[in-house]
Amino acid sequence: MDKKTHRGRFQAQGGGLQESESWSQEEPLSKDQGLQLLARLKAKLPAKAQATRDKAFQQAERYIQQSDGGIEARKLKSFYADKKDRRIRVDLEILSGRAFVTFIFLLILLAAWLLH
Amino acid sequence: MATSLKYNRYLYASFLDNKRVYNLAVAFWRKLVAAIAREGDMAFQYHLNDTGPDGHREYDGNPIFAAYFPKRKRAFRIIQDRPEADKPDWAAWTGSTEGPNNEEVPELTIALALSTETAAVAKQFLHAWLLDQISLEEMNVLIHKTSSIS
Repeated sequence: MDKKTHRGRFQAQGGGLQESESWSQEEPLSKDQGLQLLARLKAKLPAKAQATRDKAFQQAERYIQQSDGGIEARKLKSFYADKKDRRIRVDLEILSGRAFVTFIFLLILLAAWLLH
Repeated sequence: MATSLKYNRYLYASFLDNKRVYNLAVAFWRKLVAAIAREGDMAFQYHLNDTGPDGHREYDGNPIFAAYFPKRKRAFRIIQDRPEADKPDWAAWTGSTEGPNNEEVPELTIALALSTETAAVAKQFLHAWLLDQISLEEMNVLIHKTSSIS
């Protein structure tokens, strides 16, 4: 199966938990899409797992919010809520392409593509 | 597995406040990994992008050093944290990620506050992972055992 140009995933890991939300598409993942996927991952978790990873989710969200032109692959980040147990975490993996671009960046890409 | 070590003497403790110190910490890891690579007659590749969301190089230690070893088809990642009182100094876990050719490869991640003790733990783990090529299951056992005696 052909792999798409822009791929990645969020994972909630540790403490016996392994849940993920991934993307695989031909255009860069937008910042809004990234935040939605992250929120969807959080919503999938049991309440206790959400609570123990709350700060980790906040860190991941802040990281995405900081992006304007997007972040290029390959990028791996692990966010943990408490150093008491670093394994209880949220992982971000940008495996291919670019992620967390703004709507304006996507418009510029589209314009460039139309001009060519 | 997470654990706490005693008698720490933290190295490059101000690495998050001073870019020069940060670069020295990176050089520390590069030297440690290069020695392991030489011992196994292996090349390694920097397979991660270190540019952050603002378009500049990241100096956050997450990760501070990471590499892929084509000969072993294995990757590792070191996350370096600021030392914190009453918190364990290291944790490690195994998983998988994608290698440079988009193939799934096993990955060892070690997250730590850098001290002579945690550096020794990391060296032991990287040696086992890259030179001895122990399995994921064996790596998890080694992490657990090391944790219980630390």
